[in-house]
Amino acid sequence: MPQPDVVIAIVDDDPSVREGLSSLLRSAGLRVETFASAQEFLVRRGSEAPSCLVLDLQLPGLSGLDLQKRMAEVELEIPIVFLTGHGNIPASVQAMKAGAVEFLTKPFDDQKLLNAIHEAVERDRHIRQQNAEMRELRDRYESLTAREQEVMQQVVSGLLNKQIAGELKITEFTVKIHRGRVMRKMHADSLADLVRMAENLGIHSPKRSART
Amino acid sequence: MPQPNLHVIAIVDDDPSACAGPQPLVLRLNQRRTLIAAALCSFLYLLLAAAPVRALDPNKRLTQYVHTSWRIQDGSLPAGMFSITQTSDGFLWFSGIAQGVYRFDGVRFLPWVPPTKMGFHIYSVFADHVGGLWALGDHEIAHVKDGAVIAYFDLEGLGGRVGISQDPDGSLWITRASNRVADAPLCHITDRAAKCFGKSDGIPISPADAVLPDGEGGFWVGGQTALVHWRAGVSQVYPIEGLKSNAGDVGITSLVRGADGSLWVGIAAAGPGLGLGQFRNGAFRPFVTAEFDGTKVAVYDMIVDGDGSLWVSSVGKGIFRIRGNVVEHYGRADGLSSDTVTALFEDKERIVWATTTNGIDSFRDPRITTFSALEGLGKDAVTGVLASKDGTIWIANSGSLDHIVNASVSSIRSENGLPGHQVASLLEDRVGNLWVGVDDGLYLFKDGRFRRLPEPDHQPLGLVVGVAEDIDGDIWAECAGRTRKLVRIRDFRVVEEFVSSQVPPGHTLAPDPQGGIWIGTLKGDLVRFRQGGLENFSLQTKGDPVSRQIIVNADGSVLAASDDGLVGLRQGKVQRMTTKNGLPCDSVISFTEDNAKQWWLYTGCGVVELANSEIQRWWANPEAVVQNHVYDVLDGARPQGRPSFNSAALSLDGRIWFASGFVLQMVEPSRLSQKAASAQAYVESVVVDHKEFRATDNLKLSRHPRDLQIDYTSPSFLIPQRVRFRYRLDPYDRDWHDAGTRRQAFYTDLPPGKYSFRVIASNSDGVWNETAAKLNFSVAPAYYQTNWFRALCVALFLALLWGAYLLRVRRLQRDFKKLRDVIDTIPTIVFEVGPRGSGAVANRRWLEYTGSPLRQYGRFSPEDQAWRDSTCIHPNDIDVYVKCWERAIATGQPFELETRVRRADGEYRWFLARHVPLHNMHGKILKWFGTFTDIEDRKRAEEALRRSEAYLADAHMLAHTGAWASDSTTAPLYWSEEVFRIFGFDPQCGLPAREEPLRRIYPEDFDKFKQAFDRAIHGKLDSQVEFRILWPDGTLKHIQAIAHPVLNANGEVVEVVGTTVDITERKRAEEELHEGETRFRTFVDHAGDALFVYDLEQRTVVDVNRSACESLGYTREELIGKSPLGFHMDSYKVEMDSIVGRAAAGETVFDTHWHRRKDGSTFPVEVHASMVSYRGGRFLLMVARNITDRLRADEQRDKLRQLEADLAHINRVSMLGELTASIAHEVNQPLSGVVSNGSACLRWLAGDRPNLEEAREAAQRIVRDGKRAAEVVTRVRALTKRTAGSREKLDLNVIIGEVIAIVGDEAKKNSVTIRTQFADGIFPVLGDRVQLQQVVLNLVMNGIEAMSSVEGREREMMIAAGNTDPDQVQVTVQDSGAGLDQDKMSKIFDPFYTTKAHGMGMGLSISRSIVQAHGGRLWAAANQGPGTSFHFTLPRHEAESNAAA
Repeated sequence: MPQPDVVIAIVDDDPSVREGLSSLLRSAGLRVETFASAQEFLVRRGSEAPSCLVLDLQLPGLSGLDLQKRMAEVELEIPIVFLTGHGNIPASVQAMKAGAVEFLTKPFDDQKLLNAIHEAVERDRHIRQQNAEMRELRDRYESLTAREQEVMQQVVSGLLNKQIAGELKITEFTVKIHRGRVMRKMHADSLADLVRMAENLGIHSPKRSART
Repeated sequence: MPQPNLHVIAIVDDDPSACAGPQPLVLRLNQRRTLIAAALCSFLYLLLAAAPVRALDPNKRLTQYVHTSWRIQDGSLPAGMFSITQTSDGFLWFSGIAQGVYRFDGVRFLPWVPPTKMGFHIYSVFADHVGGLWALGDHEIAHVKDGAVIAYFDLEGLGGRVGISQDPDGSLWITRASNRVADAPLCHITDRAAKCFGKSDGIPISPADAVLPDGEGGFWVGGQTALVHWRAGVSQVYPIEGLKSNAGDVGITSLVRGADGSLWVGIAAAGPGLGLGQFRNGAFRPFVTAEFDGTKVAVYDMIVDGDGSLWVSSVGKGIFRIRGNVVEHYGRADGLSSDTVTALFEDKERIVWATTTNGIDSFRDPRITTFSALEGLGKDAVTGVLASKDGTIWIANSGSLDHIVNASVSSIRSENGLPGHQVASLLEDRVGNLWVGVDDGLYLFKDGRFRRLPEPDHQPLGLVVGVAEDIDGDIWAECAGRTRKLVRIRDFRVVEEFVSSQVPPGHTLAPDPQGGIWIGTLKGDLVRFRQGGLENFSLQTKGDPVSRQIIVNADGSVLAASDDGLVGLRQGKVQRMTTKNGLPCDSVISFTEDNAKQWWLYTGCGVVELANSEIQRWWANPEAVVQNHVYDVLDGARPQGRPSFNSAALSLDGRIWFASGFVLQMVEPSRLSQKAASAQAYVESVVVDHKEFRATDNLKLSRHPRDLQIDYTSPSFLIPQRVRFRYRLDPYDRDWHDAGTRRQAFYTDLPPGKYSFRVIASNSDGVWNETAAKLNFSVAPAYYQTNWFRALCVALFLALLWGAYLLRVRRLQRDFKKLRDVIDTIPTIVFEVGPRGSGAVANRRWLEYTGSPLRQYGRFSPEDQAWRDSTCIHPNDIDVYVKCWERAIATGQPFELETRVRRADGEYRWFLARHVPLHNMHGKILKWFGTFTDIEDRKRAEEALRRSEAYLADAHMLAHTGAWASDSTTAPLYWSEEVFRIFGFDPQCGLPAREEPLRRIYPEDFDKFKQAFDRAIHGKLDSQVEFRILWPDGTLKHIQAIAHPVLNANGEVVEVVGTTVDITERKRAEEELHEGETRFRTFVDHAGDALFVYDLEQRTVVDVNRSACESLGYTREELIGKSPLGFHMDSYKVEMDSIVGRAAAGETVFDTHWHRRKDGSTFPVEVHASMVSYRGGRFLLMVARNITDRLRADEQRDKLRQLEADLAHINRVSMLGELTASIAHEVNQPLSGVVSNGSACLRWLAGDRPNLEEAREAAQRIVRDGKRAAEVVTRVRALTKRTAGSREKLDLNVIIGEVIAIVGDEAKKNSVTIRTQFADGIFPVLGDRVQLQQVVLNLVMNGIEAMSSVEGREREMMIAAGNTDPDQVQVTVQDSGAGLDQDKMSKIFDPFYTTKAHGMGMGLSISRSIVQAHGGRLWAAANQGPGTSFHFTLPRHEAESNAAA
């Protein structure tokens, strides 16, 4: 199952492991980039984020767990498969807690590793897709005027046009026009659709002045 | 209304040249005839003057003249002037009322000092035609000529307005304008007297303001109320209606004859019937035209200029110029210094001058005439000019098409038909049609109508930037429309279009006489376009590339204007005429050739005139310097901009027109040929040391003038800035100085003498007037500059010199005589001889000694045989002497020689001869001086003494005996050399003081010495003593001294004499013998080993030492004489015999035995036996050492070593235990590589198309990683082995590297970074690989552990290995851990001391013993920063270092 658009990054300070892994993954039809240290990965990484990171736990300087932490800080969401020379239970627990896909002890079973990588790639694809959708949704929302955003907030909180008009001190007719525009711009098929989008966007109905 | 105190001067200037013509009219018989002649002259002059010789061009507008103004506020002059005249020498004179008279040379207004007796006020000045100047004051009249007053007298009533008219004989007619004058207003003035005419002579009015000869012997006289014509005592009065009530005030101020003969009358009042008018048919008629009303002008003064134009100066209305019916006005708004103009004057250069209440103004005709908006052009934006065949000049302007016909300028604007705004290129075709480019179209202009050229596709052509007609009658137009294109027009329609891809975009077009057209392109190239073919010629001009004008000559050569000179193109070759060829500047805007074959270039710095012959010369030689004439800004050129279209034109009348981009400029070559009047220079004054003198001839200047300034000038008013001067001062200057425009010459420190200063001037056209102005002057000499003074000084100096010389000679003679006496009385022979030995002279002593004068012995020269043979010098010495003498002459070095010289009686005596040269300053020998000193007696005495002393000294030295003498107090009187040597004093320093030798006597022996000495003194006996002396350096000497008192006749001791003998050697020999014996015995007794001496013959013990007795338990006596077998174990008898046998053979024997004590116990001994011979006998010397203790110690050491090895092993194994995780990791890494690669290899091989290349690479990696794992395992195994301690040659860098490979993971686990610093060329060491690795491992592990608790800084370990001096290798393991305090530091190497929780405390202890077993050292030291450093050194591998050595 060659996946030419998928890039796997390997970070391991041992050249034997690096080359063996690289050959193994390439033989499975994956594109591979190798790095000798966490710093090198952070500095040299291309514009395209890899889909999966195969990461050695014991690295000189910044350790594997440190890198995982650092990536989380800069919101670099790449699924990680950890490797370690000797099974270290506390470390593996910490890594899995921080969202690692798998934690493998050297020498590892090739199939186990490939399975973990495929799972990671799958997870990555999902993340990317979600991100893209979210971005699209946010773009659409950004394209709304301030007034339209206001109207949308009122609409998704279930208010009637008349109520919205009262709330915003505008005519009902104007509310209708705004509402139509909001539906069109948000590509919403129905009110329910719009409500789902609002949820995804994290929009909550503003507290009405009457209630405060 | 004019003010009563204003003084108006009306002047009629009659040119005397008119009367000096071919018909001389000398009519001086009576006054009447004079008047007739004057009138005739005036008339003739007026006729002649009217001819246009060279005058202000009447066709020009006043604004086209160059107007110059000197205003009071500019500081040019002190106040307003009222009168102008020009004397025959060319100077202009101005006079004011209270400001005096000023002379003007074009640059400077010079105050004129009026002649003596003249009052302060001079109202008018008038220059007559015979070179004189009249000055008229309040009531005085002075006539001045060449600086001298030739006439002076009083005349009442002048102090008002004065009208002046001159007779041909130089006498004047003037009017008296003062109201005080009763009834004689007209006066005739000669140098002798004034005669006034009034009522009695038929003049009914008084006073009068103006006078004008009527040309027939009579006069017109203008009064306050009427005009009077007076002739031959009869007058006709013409009252002027408007002046009826004017009595007492100024009336008619000016009368002139117009060009047509009419009489112009100016009245100083405006109003109906007043102002400016003409007198016609007996009545005054105001001059009124459609545009001008003469009644509104109050007239001050009038003149008629050389062209016949009437100039009128007015009160408050400026200047009017009237010619025919055309009246022009010029006032303050135009730049006139004031609107109230008081007088007018036209000078010889036809410049019109005007004085105003605020200054002086002049108007001159520039050579280049400018037409601008002032003259009626639509705007000052002239971009093109065309001269049409009908004489019309067409001007392309912005917003109008202007044209000039017969000097009148008019415009066609959009309101009268111009079909647009910007007029572009113009062309008149061969049939006389005018093509005009307007905005984006091309039009045919005919009969006042514009017809637009039909455009193909109704697309406007665009701005027509260039248009030309070729020889076929086709019209070509370059159009800068939306697309730039060239079009061909025929029959009033566009027949062809060429876009820029076909023909390069151009600007200027010109027809080729051979057909086709030339295009000046936007890139600056020239392109010939003929029958569809293009030829491109690159001009490569600097600056603006576009050529504004191109002319193609009949011979095919092309001329083009450019920013980089005039460009010529002939036969494909480009040449340029630039400043290098003599042009005033490089930028040529346009050019044309006139009918007289002159070329006219319009350049950035003016109009340049160039003969065609010069152009031809330039064509032939592009480097030629061309003759040209430049008309620049001062001539009216105004090349400020760049015309966009037609830039130059030649009109039918021969005038040349240039469009400047702003204005239109015109040159009229026929008028240019008239040059300015020649300039005459004048010397004005001489300033000597800031004192000014008038420039009179033969001026005598004071003695020694420091600064001399000569002021000169030349009156010239056309362009004074261009007047140049040259001067020379004879005989001071060799050549003419070019002073440029400077008007002063400066000289400093002129020597006395007669001088002649000459100066010449050039006029504004650069024509030099070779007639020089001269000034002769002389400078008187000061007394010290006179010749007799100089001669006196020389004579005095010579006399002083002679006196000094005489004095000197006398003193020298006296000194010489004294010296001669001294020399002659010297008891030594002194001589002097030439550089090569000739000319010897000696003092009297020579004669006394040798008995004959020096001359007799020849030349006293080494070369002179006669002298050598004279036997003056002893024959045995003469050769040496001559050799020395020759060498001295050759080298110039002095010499000294002992030689024998013959006395008069024939005996030879020894002399010391000395020869010394005398050098001159260049080192050459001038003379030799010499002396002969008699040393015969001295020589003999010396010889005798030397011999006796030598004998004595030898004797003393041989016997170590010194002789001495001293006085009774022991103070030395004489010491022989040996005494000095014995006491250790230096004979060179002389006898020591009394105390010094006494102090050297050994203190214990001093009394002994004293007693012996006293015995000699007091007992008067010989005494002998032995004592010691101690030198300061500690040398001790034994002395034996004998003293003998010397008695005088009275039996008293005078001195003590004696000898001193050094007996040190003898004493030392005695003592050493005794001491040697004792010491030897002691040594032997105290030796730790037992000593036995056997007699080999007797086989008994001869001697033993104390150790031997003590070890065996016998006494010395018991042992001596005993056989050694008594204490040797019996079983060793054979062995004993063998020792004896081997030693007897001369061998030194080592062996171990058992000895038995007296009590029967035995102990092991090591025996060392050798044979010695002594006094004929043979003895065996046997040394026996008890070795019981040493054997026991060896056993214990072996046990300890085994224990240490075990401990080391335990330590290694336990350390490896600690490292298990790390080792596992080290093995795991390559293993996981093996697994990955193996899996990959399988995958590469699987499938339909196995990738063999990748599979092979994976397999190779498997092999490599497998080996790597095996290496780790091997290394670990080696460490766990119990090693036999084999030594091999090792490289410490490799050892350390292997250890790091094992602990790598452990370090990583503890976040420790290991850095290494391995020196190159590290010495090899000899050692046990495993043990040394153990040491390094220990140190590294300790370091890692020491850093495991470190937080907040780098955990860094540094391992360094390098050579240290000498022949040592040092390894340092440095951690950055917590460090060790002093207390711990001292204990860490102790066994079982540990700072770790699980440590055995053996690591460092073991490490230290390993290092020490290798001959090295291990120690710890605290770092500068945190942490501890462990160092160990090992010696360099011996074989290696030996080989290296």
